[in-house]
Amino acid sequence: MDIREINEKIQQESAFIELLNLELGKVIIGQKYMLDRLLIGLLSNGHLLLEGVPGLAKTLAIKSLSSAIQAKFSRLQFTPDLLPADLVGTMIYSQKQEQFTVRRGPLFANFVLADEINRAPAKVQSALLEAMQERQVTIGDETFKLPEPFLVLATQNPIEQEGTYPLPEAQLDRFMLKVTIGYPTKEDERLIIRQNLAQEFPKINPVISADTIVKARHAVREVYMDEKIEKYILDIVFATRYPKDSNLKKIENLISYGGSPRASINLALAAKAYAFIKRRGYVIPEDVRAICHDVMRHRIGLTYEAEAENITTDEVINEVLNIVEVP
Amino acid sequence: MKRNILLYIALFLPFLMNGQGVVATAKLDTATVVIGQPFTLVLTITQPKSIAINWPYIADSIGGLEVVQNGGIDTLPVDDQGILLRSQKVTFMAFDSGAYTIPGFVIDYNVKGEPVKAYTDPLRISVYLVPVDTSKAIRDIHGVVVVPYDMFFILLMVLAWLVTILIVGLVILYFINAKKKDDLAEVKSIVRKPAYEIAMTALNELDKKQLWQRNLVKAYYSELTDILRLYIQHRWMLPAMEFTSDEILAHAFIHQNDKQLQDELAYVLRLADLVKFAKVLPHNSEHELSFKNAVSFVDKTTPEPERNPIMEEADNKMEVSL
Repeated sequence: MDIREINEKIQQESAFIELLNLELGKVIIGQKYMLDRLLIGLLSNGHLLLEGVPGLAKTLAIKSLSSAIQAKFSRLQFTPDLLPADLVGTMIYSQKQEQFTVRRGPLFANFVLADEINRAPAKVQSALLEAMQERQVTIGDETFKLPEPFLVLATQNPIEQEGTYPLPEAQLDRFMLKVTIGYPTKEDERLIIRQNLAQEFPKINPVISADTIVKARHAVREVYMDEKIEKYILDIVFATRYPKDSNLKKIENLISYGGSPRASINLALAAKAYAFIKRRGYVIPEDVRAICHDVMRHRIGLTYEAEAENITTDEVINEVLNIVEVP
Repeated sequence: MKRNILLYIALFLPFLMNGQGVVATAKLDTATVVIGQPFTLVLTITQPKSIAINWPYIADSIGGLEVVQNGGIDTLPVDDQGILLRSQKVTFMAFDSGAYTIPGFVIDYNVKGEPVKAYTDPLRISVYLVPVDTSKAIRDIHGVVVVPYDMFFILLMVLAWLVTILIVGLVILYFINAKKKDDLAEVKSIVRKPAYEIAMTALNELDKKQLWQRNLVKAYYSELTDILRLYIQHRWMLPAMEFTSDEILAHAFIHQNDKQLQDELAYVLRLADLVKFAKVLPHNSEHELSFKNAVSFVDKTTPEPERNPIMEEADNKMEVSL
């Protein structure tokens, strides 16, 4: 397809983004960054891990998004006594019918908020992550497809790590993005206070259907990505794996392992989704850079030296981006 | 002497022994010692092979004397009639002066089911202080031991010193060379061509390549933007090669220039992005305009003295001569 046609198609297909942003903006003040990442996850069929202190409108954001898309939403509070069956569902014996019947769990929703995922033991985390990956659940002998679109937004609290089960690296890799959200600005927080004091909570109206999202996902895949951008993505990911080869001796001792091939795939996909949100039919280096931290931050392992010096993966990614030449 | 004693005992023992009896003797090798001087006690028991005896227990200290070495029991057959000669050597030391008595040892054994005892005589030993000659100066007990010279050892030491000196010398040489290299690098950076000259030379070469005229539009814009990025890097000391177009255009340095210049640069970078990443094919006039804008940007952002260094040099000479 010609690039002009792609561009026109993307312009048409992405028209709902503004509408969606306007609707969400009615209740979510600030947090544009988080909303953009939610859309990227939604459009590229990925899942998000959100890290932020409590009270930053994480639940409100995903709830509002599901309302605006006319989709089913469920929230799961992860606790140490949670069982996999509490998530996926279980077989219940019906005395009336004298047989076992399936009772589906809260995972059967379009938007699932897995609150404080690190508070549940590994078997529960594993059940959720498997469902995220396979997009299907097996209860008894039957396998059930999860609804489309299916987006999991898991949250983690960066404080109070006592009594938690940190997600292993292999499972972290299954999240497309790890988004770190911060506090709103003073101006935004003032508006939040006013809105809360006035008890004025606008109602979110459904502006698009779930089918629109499914259709948009196809359009995202059609966004043009030039070879130069592909090379740029590979240069970034390889720089995290072999820093010495990329003239990054400075951070060589800070990285224990770099991004996996899944990092390259997700970086490319997320960059396409970002370009789509920006209503462009092609990817530019700015798209890659804009999304790079969110895709890479949970995929780079730091050494003890880095941890001892309080160096974060974000700082390592900054170093990589400052060295890798932009095409 | 000790051997002779043992020999006499062994020869006359069968006569001395009463039937199947056990004979025990204890002897000291000296009767007087000085403090700390070791002396030996030999306990000898002659017995028929058929009799089992309880060998006396030797404690860590006996009668105020310290046992410093307790030798094992040595057994020797004396004749064919089954007589055994057994002995044990015990070395003692005393750490205080005086007269000491080593009590007699008791040897228990049975003859036809009846318990019998054999005894040794108690032994006396006198321990004296070391006589001190106060008229002489205090001296070491032992003098300094002089190690005899060993030629092999001396050669080994000389070799070790030579190797050490060689290693130290090499390390110093390495650092001196590294320093020289750094100095050379500094000199190289000092003598680098001016940013203007580098950029203009590259632009001229790009023009000569006639890339867009040969339908190599993408390569043309890639090179054009690389020249501009490199120029910005040299001119403002910014890592512009690692900047995206948006980052370059948003940077503070760009706002120091007039609006027209900013627009010219933005035009080149934005169009280049479209060509490089969105397969856009601009009109020929746009290629020319992009090149013109690039030249204009380099030209207008370069200070006058750098643009005409020869002229400047000539002016300076004039001033000096005047």
